[in-house]
Amino acid sequence: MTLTAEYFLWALTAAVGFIQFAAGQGGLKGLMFSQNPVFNRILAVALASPPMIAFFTWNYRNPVGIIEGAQQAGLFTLASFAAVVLTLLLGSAINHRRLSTAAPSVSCLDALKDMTFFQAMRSRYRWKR
Amino acid sequence: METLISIDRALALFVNNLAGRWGPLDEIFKGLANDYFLIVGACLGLLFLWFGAQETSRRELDQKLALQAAATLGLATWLVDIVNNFLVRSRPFNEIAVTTLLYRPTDSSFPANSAAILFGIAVAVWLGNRQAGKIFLLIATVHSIARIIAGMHYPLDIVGGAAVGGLTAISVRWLFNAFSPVITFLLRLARAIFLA
Repeated sequence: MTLTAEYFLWALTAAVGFIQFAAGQGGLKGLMFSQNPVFNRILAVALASPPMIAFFTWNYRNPVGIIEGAQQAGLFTLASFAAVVLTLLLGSAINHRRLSTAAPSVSCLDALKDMTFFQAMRSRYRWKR
Repeated sequence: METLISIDRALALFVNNLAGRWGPLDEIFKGLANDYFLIVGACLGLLFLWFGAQETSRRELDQKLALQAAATLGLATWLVDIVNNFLVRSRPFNEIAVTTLLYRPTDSSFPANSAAILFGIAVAVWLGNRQAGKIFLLIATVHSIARIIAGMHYPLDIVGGAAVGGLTAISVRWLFNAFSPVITFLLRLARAIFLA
């Protein structure tokens, strides 16, 4: 695997883990992979720890392998967007039957406290029509 | 100026004394000083800031701070690049007898790019969220000290980098206030699709 691919995959996994941890903290049930707060936190740590260890030991594993700053910034931005999309997709698929499908009372991230991303989008669209 | 540089070199040698004494400790310094662990950690912290607040008003503020920090990161990197075109300072391992723990970069030592990025992010967050800002400042400080221990920078490089980052963060905050309607519009767009 190339260094850039390795960096991207670790950044993606870490970002998914951090989003899970943040979603649990913010009570955004529609983004959480598990509705059990304790299990969700364990899952977040399990997702974020290996990448952080990989980043910590990067120069130990790749003594001469470096990624330029600008390339890192681009890869990290891409990985973050991919992590958000992945979280929205997985969160919606996992919580599809568990959460309500009523029209969202608010038009912001708070809507994801009671429903999934796709439920919120669909309800909002119907609601306006 | 000569005196300042002499003090800077002496200080770099003094701090660098910690390197090369014990293998496992060197590995810890390598991890803290590398271009990945703490920089990626700080950026992930911004992602946490975006989603992590429970109250809507708190989240709105944190999201603005995350955007300001991201803008600061880009602008500070660009400014360091410009400064490097006019001011070139050799790395400590080229001038004095330091122990080097990481690879040997060929770009200018002053101002430290990673310090500019991390202190820029920290100041941007700290200006609006003291609690989170302290954590980011701690990350920036630990990384910067580790860079000196690893023989990558002089202390003055770090001070220069922190100044570039801090001033950029303050400028970005001013720009965000000046262009507040644009930022509010962008955040409204993100809210419309439940992403903010």
